[in-house]
Amino acid sequence: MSDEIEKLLRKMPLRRPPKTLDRRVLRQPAGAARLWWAAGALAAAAVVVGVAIALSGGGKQHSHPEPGVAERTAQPEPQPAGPVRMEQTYSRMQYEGVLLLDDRTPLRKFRRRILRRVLWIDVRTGYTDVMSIPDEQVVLIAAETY
Amino acid sequence: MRRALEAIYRKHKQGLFTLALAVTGRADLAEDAVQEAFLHLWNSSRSARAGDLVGYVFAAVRNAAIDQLRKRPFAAAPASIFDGSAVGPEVAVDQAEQFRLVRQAVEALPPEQREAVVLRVYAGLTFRQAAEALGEPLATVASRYRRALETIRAQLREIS
Repeated sequence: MSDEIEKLLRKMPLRRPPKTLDRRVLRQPAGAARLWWAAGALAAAAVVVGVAIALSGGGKQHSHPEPGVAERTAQPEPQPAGPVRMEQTYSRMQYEGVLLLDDRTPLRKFRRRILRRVLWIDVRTGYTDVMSIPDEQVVLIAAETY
Repeated sequence: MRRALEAIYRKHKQGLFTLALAVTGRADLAEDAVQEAFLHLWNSSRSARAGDLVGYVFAAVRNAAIDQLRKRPFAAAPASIFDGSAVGPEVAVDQAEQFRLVRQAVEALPPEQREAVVLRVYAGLTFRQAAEALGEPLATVASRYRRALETIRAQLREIS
């Protein structure tokens, strides 16, 4: 009897996968998911380099003059600089599938998570104050239909 | 590894989609689930693990489908895994009626039994592969499948 039921079940016509599925699955580049993290890491590295350059630039004002020169040119002590404001932004985009607007227009939904870090750095003392501001955006992009 | 995954996708596309549809009850979520599962698999070093890759791929699609459903719960009636439009006017009345009864019986199954039926009958998996896909012991899946067939038989008898 179970065999008969299995036969009946096998005869049932199944809903076919949409034609777009092949394109969506097979054309995904390997490593695509890691790209966002790689981009984020690169951006973070760039910001760190930027901060380092800014700090070293501030340090030049206080660099020791060449021997002998300082004695002849008694320049006034440079004014202490105020805190430097730096901003770092990290973001990550996550795909959350397709939405149907009014059940007709297909839209791809992306969620962008953003972390803004604002740093105030006292170049003279090296004291750093940090404020982190998390944010989130939803981006909808019209999807191609075939 | 990518080639092996592609081969599994091409061979089991229908089964993977049907499983995702059985879990989510929506064709768009099922499509998203299959895509996201493969996106994860392409990038996962775990896909190079030993063992049955087919069962692992089905498990990944099932998990992605559950995630989709969790992210976007849907209150309306779930879509059927069966294609109602395939039963056109040219089909004999008794055959169309049989289609309706079987569909009704399958849709009335508890989700875990329906998944067992989808994996065995429509995806063509072995019990071992189905067990891996569902993350359950083989005996549990086999017993669910048998119970599902008995339930369908009883339902058909009752309805007709």
